[in-house]
Amino acid sequence: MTTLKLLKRDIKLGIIERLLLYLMVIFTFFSVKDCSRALADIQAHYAMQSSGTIMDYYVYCMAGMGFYQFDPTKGFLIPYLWFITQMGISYIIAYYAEKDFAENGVNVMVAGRNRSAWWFSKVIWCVLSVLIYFVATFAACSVFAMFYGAKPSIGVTDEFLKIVYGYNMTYLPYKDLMLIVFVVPIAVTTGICLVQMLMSFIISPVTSFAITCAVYILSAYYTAWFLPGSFTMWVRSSYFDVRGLNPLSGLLIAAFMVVAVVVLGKSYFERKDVI
Amino acid sequence: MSEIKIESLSKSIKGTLILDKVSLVLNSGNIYGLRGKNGSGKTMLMRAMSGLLIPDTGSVIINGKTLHKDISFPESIGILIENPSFLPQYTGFKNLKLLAGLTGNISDDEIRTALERVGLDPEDKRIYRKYSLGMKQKLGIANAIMGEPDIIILDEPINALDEESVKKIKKVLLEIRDKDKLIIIACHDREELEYLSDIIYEIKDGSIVDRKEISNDNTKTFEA
Repeated sequence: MTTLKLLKRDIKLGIIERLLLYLMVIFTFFSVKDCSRALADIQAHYAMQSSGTIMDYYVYCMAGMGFYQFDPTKGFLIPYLWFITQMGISYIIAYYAEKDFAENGVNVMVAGRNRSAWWFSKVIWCVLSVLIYFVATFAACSVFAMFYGAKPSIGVTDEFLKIVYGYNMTYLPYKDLMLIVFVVPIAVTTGICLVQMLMSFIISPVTSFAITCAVYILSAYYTAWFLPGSFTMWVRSSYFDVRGLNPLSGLLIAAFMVVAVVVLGKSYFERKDVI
Repeated sequence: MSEIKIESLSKSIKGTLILDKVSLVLNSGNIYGLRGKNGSGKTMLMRAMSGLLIPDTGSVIINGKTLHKDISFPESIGILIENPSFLPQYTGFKNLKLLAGLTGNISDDEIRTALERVGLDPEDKRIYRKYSLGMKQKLGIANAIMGEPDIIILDEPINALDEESVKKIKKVLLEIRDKDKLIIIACHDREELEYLSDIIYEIKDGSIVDRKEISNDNTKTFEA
């Protein structure tokens, strides 16, 4: 009950009053523009009739980059649109919880009379923030895609995806595509954001944001399960590329991060002096 | 009836002993004053009684329930410790309403009454950011007394207040005490502390070094 009361407060102060921050999803415009250019090229060279669907655009925007293999003749270029998308939500959750604790922790904790409930409320707030962010990203992507003539359909244009991503797409059922494009990236991003939020109390919001940023950059460079940013790029999924990461292990890692953060955070706040 | 029982409470922060085997029993119907130099441990003792500070050893028992074992915080408490902090974008009333929503049993009328008692206008549309230092302090006191909790802890409550406001706050505190509530105050102003308190504890280097009963307190009422 106390968690719900605190959550109501966190939704009001941490989401509704900060909705403007979610406007950063307009960055998806640049990905959509890229996608539209790719579609136009394909239409010109392969005589493809379809102008794509909003799902084609979203799949394109959330692809990230394939495996990076060191090549002395080519520099490493971070997939900046994927990076901006991921850092957007990290920025949104970076400061609120720690600032709320530092500025209002005494009044709120004494009024709520429950340290664990305070932490659970912040965890749920973080999860909701990530979900809303991805919904906003999908919505922005859809609006921009329709501006470029995409059909408002959640189906994918096989021909387009096969040409852009190769014939691996032939063997990828739609439900698996949805798993690696939506479920795994959202789950793993939620886990990463929760870890970042907990770290913001233990170190500082700025440092934990910087560490998250570093993890994403390293994830783009190396593909490894312990660099969870890779799970947020669906082209690095084993469903798409045999060298890739199993999406189910991504879900397991996300679940582990969520459980660990809930338990460690509860223990941390039950022992923390509120000064 | 409320009782705070502190048993051999010790606390160190970053290697510095700030509370050293403090033992006290505080009962409702009294105002307890805490006196001591800066850094003597008054505020930390108040934080420990509020549930904000986790003791290294010893315990704080509120009405038979041990803090951090049976309960996280006292079940009926209002506090003002050091500088009040509220949401800058909201009015005083809205700030208290949000906090009352968490406490759960405080009506809008009780919030209005608390604001009026400390000399703030519940209908004031100014947001907290625009408040003067004195108004912020009054809002902090109103937060502590709203709903008249069983235990009220106030750290330097009359800081930044003008003479008239000090009189008003003193009157309110004595009225609340007479409703069998337990009030703990820390104050640097010796005269004001002696006027308000029934019992004063002197704190030095984290230990209680003296206890003084104020003799004229039984029938003490406010004389404005």
